[in-house]
Amino acid sequence: MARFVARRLAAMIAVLFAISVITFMIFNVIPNGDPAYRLAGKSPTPDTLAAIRRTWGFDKPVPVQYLKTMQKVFTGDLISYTNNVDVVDEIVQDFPRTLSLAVGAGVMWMFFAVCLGLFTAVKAGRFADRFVTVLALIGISMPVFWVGAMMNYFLGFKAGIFPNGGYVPLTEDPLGWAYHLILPWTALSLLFIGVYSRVLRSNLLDTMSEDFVRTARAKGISERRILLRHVLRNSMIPIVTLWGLDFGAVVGGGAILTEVVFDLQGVGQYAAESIKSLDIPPVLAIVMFGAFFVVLMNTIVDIVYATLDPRIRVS
Amino acid sequence: MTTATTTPAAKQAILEVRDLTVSFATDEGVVQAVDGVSFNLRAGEILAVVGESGCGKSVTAMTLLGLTRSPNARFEGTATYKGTELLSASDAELQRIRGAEIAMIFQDPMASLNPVMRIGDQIVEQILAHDVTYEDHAIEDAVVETVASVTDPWWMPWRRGDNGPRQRARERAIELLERVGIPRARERVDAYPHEFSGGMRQRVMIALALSCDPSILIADEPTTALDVTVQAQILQRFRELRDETNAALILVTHDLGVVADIADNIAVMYAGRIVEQGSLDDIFYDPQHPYTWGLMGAITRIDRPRRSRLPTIPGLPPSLANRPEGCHLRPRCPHEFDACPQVPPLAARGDAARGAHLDRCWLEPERKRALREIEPGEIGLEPKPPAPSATTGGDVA
Repeated sequence: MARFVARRLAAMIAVLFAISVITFMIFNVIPNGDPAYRLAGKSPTPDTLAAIRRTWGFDKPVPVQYLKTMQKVFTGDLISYTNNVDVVDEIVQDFPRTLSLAVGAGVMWMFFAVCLGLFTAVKAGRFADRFVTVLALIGISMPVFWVGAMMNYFLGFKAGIFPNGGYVPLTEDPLGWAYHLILPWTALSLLFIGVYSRVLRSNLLDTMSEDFVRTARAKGISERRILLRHVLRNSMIPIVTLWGLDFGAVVGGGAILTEVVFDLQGVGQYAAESIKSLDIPPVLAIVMFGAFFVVLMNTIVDIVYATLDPRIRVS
Repeated sequence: MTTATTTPAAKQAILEVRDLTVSFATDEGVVQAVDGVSFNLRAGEILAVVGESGCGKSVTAMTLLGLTRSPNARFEGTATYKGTELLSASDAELQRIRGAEIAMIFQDPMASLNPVMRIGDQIVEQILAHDVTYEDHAIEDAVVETVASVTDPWWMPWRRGDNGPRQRARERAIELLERVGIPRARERVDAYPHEFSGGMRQRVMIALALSCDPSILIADEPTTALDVTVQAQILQRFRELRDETNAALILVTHDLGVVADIADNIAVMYAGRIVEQGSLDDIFYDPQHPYTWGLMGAITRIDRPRRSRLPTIPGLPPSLANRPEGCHLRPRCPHEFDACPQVPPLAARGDAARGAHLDRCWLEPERKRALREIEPGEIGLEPKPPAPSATTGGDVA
């Protein structure tokens, strides 16, 4: 177990290094990427630009610039090039909102995906199965920015049932927290529910034809018990894998569209704004932050595997 | 057929199967898996159902427990277990009988146990399913078991050993594992199937099947996946269990050699039909059907001089969707004659004293006696003579 964690840690460092280099390089090669223009304000003189380049170190070779920036990332004094805000502070401030979105949506989409997957597998081939399949495909096909906007407009603005965006911290008002987040959770979950329930359905159907399910039936236990304790448990691994990766991505600011549509002011929205203004430091920090969570969730998923399926040993 | 219920043998029968017919609608047409199978099973009897792969043995066995039920399956005839009609039983009735009254052991012990569940839990589950004092909470159990597999469940009192149905079932599971010969059963009860060898897993399957003291045990090729020494041990175990519990055993196998030691009666199946049925001695010392001769000839024996080639029955069993007219063995039988296109009834032929020895072959008993002896003292099915071109072709030089 200790060796497993150590190996994963080493892998994580390698991934973070690669991702940071790639992100940094992208901003160095795209046109109009020179950060000096961003810092200098409107119509700068060549002298100002040169002065900025000197003070910020943009005249140094790229590897040196990279190392300097990385040093700032880890010491926590990385400054945005557009508004002089400390990037790490900003991410820390936005993180609870993104985490709230991810946790609620993650639980929601997993729960409904398992319910729908079980339902469609049991009714496989019948009308109910086809009906839910169509619904799932609709859920997969609808872009989240459209669903989110429609929900906001009809349920929030027109009907006034739900608040129109905004965020209330969990610690201040748990009910208000959930109330404000229901629409973002739902919008984000729809796609995942569609995908997950389809994957789970086919896994369940595969498992149902296994020999041990026949044994379970020959034991005289109820069909519900066969489904829940023998079939479902053996069908969960692909779903858990997907969930770990998707959840990690959302925690790391991957739900950019959802955050922007509902104006959650989370990490994803911050990433979107930074990309728009070609602001390297926050983008770099958020990309690394997201990668960290994806790798972390992947490691956790591997540990969960071993408990879901005792044949897999964590080593 | 109704007269059979009045014979003395049938009176003690705990299971009566009459004209059981099972067919499946498939893309290739109707597959007639079982065609008019009848037999009786008495308490303590060991009945072996023998035949090649794909002749309907397993379907017959599984149909008794309703495991072949599906929208495209059709059943005819009757199978009566102690007054309950199994073919038309409701799901609730079947659920009550399965495991508790009629238990089944499957062919592949590697695949027949749930890989993610401790073997003790798998046995406990069956015991609790038939324990009237235990209430079924499937959802709650699914959650609890999952948590229990992640952490040491010190907070679950029933796992620490207070009384209650679950603890009693667990003790019973340990006792059963000991009984089927699992060493250190008290430790091994919490092991997962992959931590056992094939033979040990089949023992676990047997423990599982015995957990509710069934009156009938159906073993579907229980030793096929095991090596020969383990096979002997398992069969020995079956016989001991029969002696201890007086349960009846239906042993489905393709290997006549396996049943030679332990069966009381044998039914030989071919292409969905029983082609010969009788006591062990009837079948082994006076086999009537050419197919049985073929199976007998295919037994390898170490007490006879070895032949250059292992005798086989030529050809393959017919597809159950498209069986030959009349006697199904016709295309493979070297002794075919003009009566064979008619379906031979399953009847006693020749020696009237052997009323319970039935077969489906038109040949006269005397003729059979002459044909089946391919070598002095050895019964077998003479292979069809090769085509003339093949024999003359070798002499080219």
